[in-house]
Amino acid sequence: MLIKLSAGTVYDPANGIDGEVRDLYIRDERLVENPGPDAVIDTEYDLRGKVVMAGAIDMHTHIGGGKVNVARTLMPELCRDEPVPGGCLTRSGCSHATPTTLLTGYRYAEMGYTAAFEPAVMPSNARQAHLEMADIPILDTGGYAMLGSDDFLLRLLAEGAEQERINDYVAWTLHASQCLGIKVVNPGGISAFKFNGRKLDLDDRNPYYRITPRQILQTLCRSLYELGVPHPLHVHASNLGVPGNFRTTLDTMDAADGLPMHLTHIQFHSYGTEGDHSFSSAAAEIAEAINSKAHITADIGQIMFGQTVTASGDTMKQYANHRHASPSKWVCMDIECDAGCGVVPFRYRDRNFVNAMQWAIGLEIFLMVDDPWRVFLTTDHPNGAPFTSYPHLIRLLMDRSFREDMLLRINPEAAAHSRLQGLTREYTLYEMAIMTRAGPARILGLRDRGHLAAGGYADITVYEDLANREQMFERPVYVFKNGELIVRNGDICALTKGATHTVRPEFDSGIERPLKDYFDRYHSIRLENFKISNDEMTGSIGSRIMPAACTARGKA
Amino acid sequence: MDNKTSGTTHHNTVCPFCGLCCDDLTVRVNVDEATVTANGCTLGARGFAQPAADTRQPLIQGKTCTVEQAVQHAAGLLRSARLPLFGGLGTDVDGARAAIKLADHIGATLDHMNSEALLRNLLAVQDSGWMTCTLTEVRNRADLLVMFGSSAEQRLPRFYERFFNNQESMFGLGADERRLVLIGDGAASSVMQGDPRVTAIPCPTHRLGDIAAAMRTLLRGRPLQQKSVAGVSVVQLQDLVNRLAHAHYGVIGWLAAELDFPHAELAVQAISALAVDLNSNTRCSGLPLGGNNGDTTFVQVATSQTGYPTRISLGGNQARYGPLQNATDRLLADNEADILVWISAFDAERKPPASAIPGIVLGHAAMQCDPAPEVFFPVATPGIDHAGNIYRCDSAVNLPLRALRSTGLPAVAAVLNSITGHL
Repeated sequence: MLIKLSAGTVYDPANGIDGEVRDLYIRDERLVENPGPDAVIDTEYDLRGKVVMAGAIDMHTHIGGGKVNVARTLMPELCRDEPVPGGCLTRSGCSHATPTTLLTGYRYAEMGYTAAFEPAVMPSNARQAHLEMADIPILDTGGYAMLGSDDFLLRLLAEGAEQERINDYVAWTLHASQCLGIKVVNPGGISAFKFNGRKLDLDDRNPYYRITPRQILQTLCRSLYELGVPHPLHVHASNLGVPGNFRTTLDTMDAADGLPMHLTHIQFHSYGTEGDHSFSSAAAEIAEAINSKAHITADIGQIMFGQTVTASGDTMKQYANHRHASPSKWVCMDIECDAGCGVVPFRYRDRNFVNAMQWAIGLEIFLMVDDPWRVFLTTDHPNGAPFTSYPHLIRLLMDRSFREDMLLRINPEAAAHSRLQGLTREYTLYEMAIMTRAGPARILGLRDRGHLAAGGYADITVYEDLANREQMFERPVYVFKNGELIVRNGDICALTKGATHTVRPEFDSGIERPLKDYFDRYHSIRLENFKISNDEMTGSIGSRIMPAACTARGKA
Repeated sequence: MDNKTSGTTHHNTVCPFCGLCCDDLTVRVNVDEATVTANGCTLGARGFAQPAADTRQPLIQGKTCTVEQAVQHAAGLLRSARLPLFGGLGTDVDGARAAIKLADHIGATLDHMNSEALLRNLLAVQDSGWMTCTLTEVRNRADLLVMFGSSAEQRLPRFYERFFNNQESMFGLGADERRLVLIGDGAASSVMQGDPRVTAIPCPTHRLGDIAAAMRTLLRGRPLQQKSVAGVSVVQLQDLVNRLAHAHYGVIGWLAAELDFPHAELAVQAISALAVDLNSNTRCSGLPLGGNNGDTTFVQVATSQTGYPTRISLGGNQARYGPLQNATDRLLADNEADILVWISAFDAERKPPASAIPGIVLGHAAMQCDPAPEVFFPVATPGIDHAGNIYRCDSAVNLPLRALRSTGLPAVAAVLNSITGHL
């Protein structure tokens, strides 16, 4: 099967192509070079005047695993209020904040996304995460395994284990949980909460293990660097949502000791204490730090106004935030000496000073970070807003006058405090392609995705070049996944099955000796049953595995 | 797996026959006979020992037929049905996936056989949330375990062995330092009674919610005018509140299936709210226990795919949740179903309810139905006859089920997907 995409305007930042009219060729699953005049083209699409990008990649979205199901369980009213009927090809589903698994795939694909990554996979809950992601049609998926409050790691650190041992455990975890990155959530804080700790700053000691969040961050950053895992440590920093937390965030950046570190949903970690409400934007300080520290990347976790549900591994902070629950019901779970989960429904109100500031802070960081390769477009779905609000967010970033119109609608005191009025920047299509395609692919080590060069997988999205960028990005004209046309004029026209991206760093399997002892003595399941085998992934779980390349580096 | 003359021995086998899903069993398989030889319990021993009867063929109106004929007949019945109902739903993840897919296709209603018990928890959490923990946390952290109800030993036979009598724990808490309080009907006759670490507080089971509500009041420092609640002195309740308030990590457990009285969800709500309240100063978690026949598994898969846990109507091309309306018994009694698809792959004894409407039964191969349903498919048992996945009762942990023998019986998912393919 040879497909020709003719004369589209191509934005392919990975290859430096900024709005050039080009032909693209797809043979079966992949992009190929021009096959020459004698080749028989099976299908040709005339893309004159249309915008062509790689399929979009969401590098941080809660789409699989226990906490999403807890959120659905807690909030059946979201499903009741927003049922989505099935179609000829599609199954029924519901809810935009906690969309059902199949609907998640349809909605992402309809917006031109072809891959999405679950950032908080507890190793003990990894089967559930993969089972649910395997049910999501079309999209490639993958997960970041959560470490940093698991008792095995904390015991190693407390014993003063060598870095090599830690590296073995980190690598073992990536294999056992079939993940492609490591995330740390409130480092050591989920554990501290189990010992009745309610607060843990970067240099505070865990009430039991006497080690600090800084040590955990340093050790894990170094592990991933030395193992050669492409994605740097994915950090949900300490003190989420706490006014004044921007100082912790700046200190967290320095805790990386210059090694690569990704700070996630950084909007929730960029708060100052100025003003009458003792709540202010520290976006300028955070953006300046990102601009000056080349080892740091961040995704935003933009909030949007409306009802959503927050779901996080950060039980310490979710418990503290439960008084803001709207409606007033919430769940916290301590899970398997591994981590935890807290689910708190939230309604962000544009007339509320703090919520309006949160909205402005996210946009300020987007607009003040200079390098689009180091910032990523997320709402921390569903925590800041459902992922379906991306087209609206894109318009806010690309269209200054629209942004200023929206600024008039929020709490006027917050609008007056915000720098947004003075920020004239408008993201270009090229920058948007970096932030939603080339950047995520690069930071995840996905060499065959996020670009349009020959040899890459043909994950391609084609848009009308509409002045209204929200309309443009919410309904692509065509979306191809692995070379197959799956969306036409914003509607699903074929269903495919994606794969699970993983990473396979080398390690000394001798780590299984202390692990087996740990599982036998303390755990409720056996080591052998904890690990997810490749056969189980492709068998009962039901997803193909695609390991990303991984080359060990020397000592950091 | 190691081959011996007496068959094949499988270690670290996951037992799917109660909500604990213990995964440390040794099971010996000799031709078709599976026997638990280590780490078993009454429920596991019975479950694994159910005969495989792999010579059984599908039946149409009690007469042997091929799988293909049975599938075609079932598909025909479902094509002409207007109000199909899927009950039982005792299956693994793949079986649940296939059932929901088929139900969505034909607009059926789905109701797990354990929905009454499941909803006691679900209605409570949907109304007010809760704080809970999982079994490994109990094993390592719980210095005080308070059980509202006393049927754990029957329904989860290894619960105390694995999560209270464990010698090892991670934070220096020895087995002799843990304490257990049993509240309820059977408290005084429990196997745990007589252990010096155990306090029994007998009271009628249907008053457990009142006990929890009184304890919440005492925890807030408010006085109670009564001298006793449900036959338990307020002094004793105050003492228990104090013990929970001074515990490092209290755990408050209950088994929804045992709370078999009207509006037991209010009792669950009071019990779980007590656990939540204690977290103002110390740590405490609720522990919803129980389950079998893949109930947690169905709830997890259904919630992720439809948004709702059970009693889901997929008619009219969209999911609707009817925790009361969509009950199998009610739908059958009110003639609001015209065909019943009954699934019970783990337990030959969980048979379809008596009904005048035609039935398609996907039953454990040893199941005997009388009268014979319109179509009977003998199906494989997940974790014995085929590989799969099952959720433990704490919902957070999913375990791998493995094929221990080869019987040639089809899995629930295979039968249902085949029917879907014929529609």
